[in-house]
Amino acid sequence: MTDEEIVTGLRRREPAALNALIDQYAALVYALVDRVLAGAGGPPDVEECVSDTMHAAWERIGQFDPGRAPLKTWLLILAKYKALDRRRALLQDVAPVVAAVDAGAAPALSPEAELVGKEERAEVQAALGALAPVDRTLVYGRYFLGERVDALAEALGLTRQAADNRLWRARRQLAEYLSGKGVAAHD
Amino acid sequence: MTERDVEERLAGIGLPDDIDEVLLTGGATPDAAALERIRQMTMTKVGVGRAPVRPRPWRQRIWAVAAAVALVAVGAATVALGPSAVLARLLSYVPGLGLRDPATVRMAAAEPVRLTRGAQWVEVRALLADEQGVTLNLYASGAHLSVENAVLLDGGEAVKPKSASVATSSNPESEGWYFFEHKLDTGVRRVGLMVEGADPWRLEVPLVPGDQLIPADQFGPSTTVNGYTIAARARPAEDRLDLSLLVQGAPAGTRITSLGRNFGALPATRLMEVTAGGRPLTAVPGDGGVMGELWLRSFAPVPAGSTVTVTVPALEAEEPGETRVRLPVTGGPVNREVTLGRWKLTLLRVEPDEGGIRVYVDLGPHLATSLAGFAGLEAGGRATSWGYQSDEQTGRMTWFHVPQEALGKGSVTLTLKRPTVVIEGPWVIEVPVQGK
Repeated sequence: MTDEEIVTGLRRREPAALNALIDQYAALVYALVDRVLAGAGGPPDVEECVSDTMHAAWERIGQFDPGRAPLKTWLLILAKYKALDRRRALLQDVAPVVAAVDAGAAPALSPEAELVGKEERAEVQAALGALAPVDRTLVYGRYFLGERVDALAEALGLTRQAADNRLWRARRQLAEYLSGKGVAAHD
Repeated sequence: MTERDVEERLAGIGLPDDIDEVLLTGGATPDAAALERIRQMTMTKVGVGRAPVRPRPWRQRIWAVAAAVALVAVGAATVALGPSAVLARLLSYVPGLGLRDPATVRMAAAEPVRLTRGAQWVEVRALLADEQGVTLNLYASGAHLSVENAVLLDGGEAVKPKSASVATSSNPESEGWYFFEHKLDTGVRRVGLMVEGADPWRLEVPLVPGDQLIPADQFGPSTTVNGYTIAARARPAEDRLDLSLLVQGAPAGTRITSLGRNFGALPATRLMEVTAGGRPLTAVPGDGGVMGELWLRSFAPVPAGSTVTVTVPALEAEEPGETRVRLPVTGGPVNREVTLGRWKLTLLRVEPDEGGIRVYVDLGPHLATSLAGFAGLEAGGRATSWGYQSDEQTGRMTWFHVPQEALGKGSVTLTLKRPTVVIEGPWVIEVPVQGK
């Protein structure tokens, strides 16, 4: 099934479409949830969270707007919020760990509230695409997956300072790119 | 713009569209049992049991795209093989790429080449040098290991690719197709490949000339059913069994889309089976692909010298053809016969459906080769999202759904495209596992 066919099927409440959604995207959602939980839970938590995401997609497909983001992105945003909620819940059960976990860039917005317009989305995406691969990995991990800088640094074979510097340079580059492109400021 | 503005702007998009490149590089992957648990949990939450499904694995789509890129890059058309054995004898097998005229092949890699470092590896699955240049297929596995940047080393010359298509997935984690606009001299018997990165990888790839490749008729044991011949070849690789299948006999313009049929738990499901000693072999998830007439699948390893049995119960194919028909959108009987390619089908009636209309079809008798549906639909001359229902026993289309937004007032002109056909088997092939 194509994404369009899946969306049509979900809107018509066809279980086959939900099955297809799981076939197409469960592995990707699993990878995202596992990254966001970052060891806060075990595999059963990840699986439950992936299932919650698929269920949410079934329930909220009427709010999906293909003009704003692809189905995959919308689904992953749902998954991100499900995973952040679960991470918070899990860490409340193991309070001593909380201090060691940096919640990172995890604004408490709903998925639909997060999605900006198509043009602005394309501009930001283009700015991200101009980053060097390592910088892009850092930015994605830090700002979109809420990962700790020291964990990212270790995974990429960088010192903490080097990772911080790269993130700082990346923010500068993004600011210059977005300013040059004339994307409207929020403030 | 302040850094805070940048952070707000990043938060505004939620996630970038290419976040999967990061997620699937070294990320956790669920096994089949985990996926099944997730499916069952989800279906329970929505209050339904298992439903008919036509899986279309991620990798299959990537392969289709990558194969198209590679074929366009080398300017080569997929060989449409008729039933002629003479034609088959004139062609040779290029591992990982399929059948080619040996006169057009300067050199090719006769088998995969892998370089391993601890838990990471990079592997050349296919390399073809011809008059246009060099086509290469690379795989890599390991945390933060990507084949994003590959360079061809011909003697002292380093050549960057003219085009590349790189994708990441869970297993293996990275795959790249490249075309180098570089002509290898006919005497070259070895090239180097550099995968660039913080710690570069360098592989040496032995090459053989086109006239030393395996002729198509010596590819492996084969079986012919209903005009289609499937030949098979099994070779042990590093940690797997590679099974290559050549499907020949399709009319020109026809594309084989599936070996078997998959509708989940429904009776219509008939999947390809591979067994050794009577026991089914476990497929390596996500691995494999299709390149024209060549199908590649990987399984858990079996010793050289043993025999595997391949059973293909049926083939699915897409044929060329399209037809336009104007239908009322208000519902009621239609009973209009239309010709789609070489097939005739009848549009029986239109019924209002939630969010659109439902059009019932009669595809004719179920024979050794039958029409099963169609692969494309346009409404009012524009592509539209659509869906269809299949018969539980046969898997043939019974009705299709056209969404409301695609309908005009009073009537709609539909364009049905690319008839899908099922060729009944089974093809049963006993395949000796060759030595490495």
